[in-house]
Amino acid sequence: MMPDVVRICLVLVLVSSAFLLSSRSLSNLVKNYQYQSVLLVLIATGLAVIEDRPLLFLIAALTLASKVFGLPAFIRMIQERMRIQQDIRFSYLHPTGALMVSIGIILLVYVCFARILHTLYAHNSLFFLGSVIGVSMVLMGLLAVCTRKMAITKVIGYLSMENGVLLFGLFVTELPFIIEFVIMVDLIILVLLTTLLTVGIDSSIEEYKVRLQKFHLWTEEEGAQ
Amino acid sequence: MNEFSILYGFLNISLVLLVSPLFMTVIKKVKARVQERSGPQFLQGYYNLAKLFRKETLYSDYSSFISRIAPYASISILLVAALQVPLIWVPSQELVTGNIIVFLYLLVAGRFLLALLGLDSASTFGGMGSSREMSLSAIIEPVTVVVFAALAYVMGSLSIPEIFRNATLQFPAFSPTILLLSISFFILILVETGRIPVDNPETHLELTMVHEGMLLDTSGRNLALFELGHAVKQTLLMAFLLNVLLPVGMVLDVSVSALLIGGFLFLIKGLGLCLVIGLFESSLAKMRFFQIPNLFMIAFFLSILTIFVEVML
Amino acid sequence: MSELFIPIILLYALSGSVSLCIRKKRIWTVSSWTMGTAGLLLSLLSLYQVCTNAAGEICGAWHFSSFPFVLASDRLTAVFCFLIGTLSLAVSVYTPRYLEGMHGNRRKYFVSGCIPFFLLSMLLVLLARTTIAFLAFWELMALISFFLVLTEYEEEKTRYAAFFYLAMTQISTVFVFAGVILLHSLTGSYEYPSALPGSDPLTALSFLFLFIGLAIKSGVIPFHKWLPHAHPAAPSPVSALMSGMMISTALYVMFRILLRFYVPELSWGFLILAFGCLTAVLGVMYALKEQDLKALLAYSSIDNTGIILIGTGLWVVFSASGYPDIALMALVGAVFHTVSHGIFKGLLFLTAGSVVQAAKTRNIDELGGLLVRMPWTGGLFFIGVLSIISIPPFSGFVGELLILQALIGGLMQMSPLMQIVMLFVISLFSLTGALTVMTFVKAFGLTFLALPRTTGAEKAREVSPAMYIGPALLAGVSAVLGIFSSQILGLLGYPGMMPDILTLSLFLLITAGLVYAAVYSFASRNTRITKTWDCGIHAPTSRMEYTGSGFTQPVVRFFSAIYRTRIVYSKEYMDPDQCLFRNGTASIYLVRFFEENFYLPLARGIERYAEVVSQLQKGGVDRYVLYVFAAVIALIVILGWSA
Repeated sequence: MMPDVVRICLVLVLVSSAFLLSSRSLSNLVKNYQYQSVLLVLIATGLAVIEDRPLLFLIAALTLASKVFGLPAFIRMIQERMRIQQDIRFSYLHPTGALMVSIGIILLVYVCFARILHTLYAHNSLFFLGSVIGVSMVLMGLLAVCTRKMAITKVIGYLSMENGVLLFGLFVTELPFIIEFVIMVDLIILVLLTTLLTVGIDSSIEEYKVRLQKFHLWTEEEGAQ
Repeated sequence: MNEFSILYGFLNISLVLLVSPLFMTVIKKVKARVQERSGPQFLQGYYNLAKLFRKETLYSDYSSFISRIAPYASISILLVAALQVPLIWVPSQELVTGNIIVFLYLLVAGRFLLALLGLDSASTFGGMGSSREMSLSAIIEPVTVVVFAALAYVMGSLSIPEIFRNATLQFPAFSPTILLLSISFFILILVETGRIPVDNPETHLELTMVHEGMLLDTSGRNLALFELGHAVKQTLLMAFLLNVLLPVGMVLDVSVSALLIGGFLFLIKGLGLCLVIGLFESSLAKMRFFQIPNLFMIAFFLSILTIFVEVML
Repeated sequence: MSELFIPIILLYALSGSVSLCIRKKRIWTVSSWTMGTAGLLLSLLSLYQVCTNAAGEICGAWHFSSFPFVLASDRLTAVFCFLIGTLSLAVSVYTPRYLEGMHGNRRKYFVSGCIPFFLLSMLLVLLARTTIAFLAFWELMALISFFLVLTEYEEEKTRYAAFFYLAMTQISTVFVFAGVILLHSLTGSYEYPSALPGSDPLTALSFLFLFIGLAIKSGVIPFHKWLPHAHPAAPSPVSALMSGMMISTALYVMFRILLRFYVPELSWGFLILAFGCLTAVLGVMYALKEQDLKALLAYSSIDNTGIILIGTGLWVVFSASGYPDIALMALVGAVFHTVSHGIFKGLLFLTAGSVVQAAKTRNIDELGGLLVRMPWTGGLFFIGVLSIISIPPFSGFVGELLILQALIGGLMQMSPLMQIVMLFVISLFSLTGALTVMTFVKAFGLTFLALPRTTGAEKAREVSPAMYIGPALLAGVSAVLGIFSSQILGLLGYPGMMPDILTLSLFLLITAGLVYAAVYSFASRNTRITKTWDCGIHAPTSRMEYTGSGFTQPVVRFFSAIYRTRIVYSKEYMDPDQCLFRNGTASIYLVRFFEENFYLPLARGIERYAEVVSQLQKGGVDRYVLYVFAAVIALIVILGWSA
């Protein structure tokens, strides 16, 4: 029963990656990232039950706190201040083409892993599936980074790549906690970078509100709150 | 072909004809309730059909034999397709071949006749509806065939009664493939019956109509036959989804009590699915026509992924 | 029994020579009667041979200076002979009246004389059992069809089409020649070889040459460019024969070489499958965009060739991977589809020819409203359309059903990587089917329904009975093939391969009858004829209808990456500052991908090479004397040093 639930969640995670490549509304993109992280939490919990490793519960809790609630709230706050609603610009590949390429990517990863990881395949097909999907997510996130033009979408694509790395770590390696921690550090750097891009390298985090107002990116009535 | 299968034929067709207008009206009622209106009464579908059958039929003076034969041909095709999809009772010997590919192509035949009807009366609305319907069906067809092929692969047979029988015997075997296929199948139902977000079945404005545009010039008994056919198609696809996902109440050995219980359970399942469809329709807006292929690509992606998962198992 | 083929051959030759040699008025009627009789006898003989499972009986053997010519007939040949026979019968009924509508008397004798010879050459290709005979009759077929295409030579487009066709068919002959030579060097004899192993590289090379030669003839993409020009340019009975029979002949040869000459490898199957998928999808996409009725039908032939190649490729793949039952299903599907395609494509081209002759235009955007003016022709075209879009219970459905069943069977049984290939082919196959439906809704709907768009279409009248009795025969055969398909397959020794279509058709009829009776009894019978709803304008014109390009515009936009429409405009101004516009042109056209990236560079390369070589021939007498002098010196040198 539990392996089936994990399998369903894995497939839905890839579908959310597909939505990332084709979604046009920015709020939908953030919601999509949240659903992806929730699915990741479910997968981690499921694995914890199957494998009987309580460490995974901790990872699930950490993911819940940081990726389901923390980061999306931050991004949403930025979005509400900057009055951008939509990202309809694509470069190189439109959504349909990008989805075709993703199918090809998943196929390629499956074929390569089938050759390299026979031992894992023989042992437990769930783990094989998880590793394939993890790497596919990373590549699809990279595809999102290169085919979407707006920087915020690129950031979400990068976040999705991190999710993919985490997924791969959950299934294949023995030290998922270290991976999670390193990812958290990465994400903190990412948040700093976003601030940098928005307000310039010589500002501090407190000053960014003032800067945004100066660049007329901060709407006045909300700035006054 | 023995007397049981002939009895099955009668029962299946009568049940489909009886239940289809009810399902249509229930969806309308659910959408109306969400919009805080009271909506039509439950028997309104039947009253509408009766009213239409009593009215005069008008034909355009430059329409051809297509307008005369398309209503009868379309509903006959759908009724023969209904013989292939057992709603409650899966007979041991089939009346008409239950091959899934024949079912698919019969649905295509119905759509073809409707598209020709749209072009027949030389009206712009008909041409528009025809063009859009054909374009959308061109894009959804790969998804449909892949979903049916995946279903045949998982259930191990190309025959629809066989598939239902295997589903009954294995129940409850919620393989992830079946649950994921149901999502694709649900999107398929929305497309085939022309519901939001693909088409709006309630308006007659040319900006939002695909299916209604082709029927704009029909009236009287022809319109009644088309409405009934549309409802029958919806019921057949719903029955497909329900009997694969939740095969409770399917009857393999016939007896009167089993049939009654099966019928009752089918009604409950159907009304549940109507509720889900109505709520889903109310929560979305109709998509721009040229964005619809994106939705289909996602459905295609999901179906392909489902088969990958099954293959990588 | 096979000796009866000889009299049939002689009858065809007689009917051809009668028209070419005797120039009495309306001699073509006699010629057509002879051809029709020959066709009827041929169909009956081949039906008999198919049912009794005759194997390899020789009709005749001759030797022309050490080149053996052997004619024999077996089951596969008999099936295709049945197709020729039926098509000859239909065309023979159709042609005399059609010719009366053409202008130019000499031309009519010529066409009615060459058609039987064309059919004869194809029959001889089918019956040939030595590679030399095959090559000779293949080239004969190509030449006769070239002259037939050139019938209306006054038009520039016809000349272009005919010469393009000649070039491509000669290239095809070159490849076939190379393949035949390789086969001779491998086996040492001119007889059809048996079961050469496919793993040997020379054998594979010979297969490749033969495949390319046949692919050019049957219109496989990217070798297809001549087909949409040549098939419409020919007169309609000839187009019907070219599309219906010549493509089928090329495909027959493909079946023959795969079944008998070689033991195919898995990679060959993938090659055929890849070409098949490409052809099927691109063929129907180009068909969708066509405004010329006959070019649309020609592209649709290309699409059906693709489907048949998919079936053949599947057979090779399945039999090389060890799944004989689905392999057989795919092969039977491919052969059945070839035969049924020949019949319904012939039907479509003949009725389209009647339409073009009656309305004097080939452009769909200038037709319309013909169903009420030409009910019989329109009705027969409708039956052809029902066949080609694969609607049960007509014959086009059976081939696609068998191939799709084989694909899903492959999906259910094979290894994971092959399952993914099957899935890919299933998606492309279904996309083709859906786009074919749309193409023929456009072809039938815009040509026959609604209001006529020009006076030519308005003045069209029903053609004489002979011109729809011929197609009616084809429609009847198509319907019978479809409805009784599972019985026919059972008779031929493949029982249980497909569901029973007869009960399906009976149920459709019974249900339709019951519905009609029920509605007639219980519903109101009042009917009134009135005007279409036109938003109250009260001025119905044909300009309110959808045009052909408008109808297919959504699909062109969905698949814009494949169609690549380009907008080209040029403007002329009256002043140097470009403020006062004088006039300009704008046009939207499809980028002709294969022409610009494949054919034209090749053609330009050949032109440049020819220019370089032609320098050698440009000089005056002095230069030629110089050549002679140089040759003599070279000979002396060689003589001196080689001794």
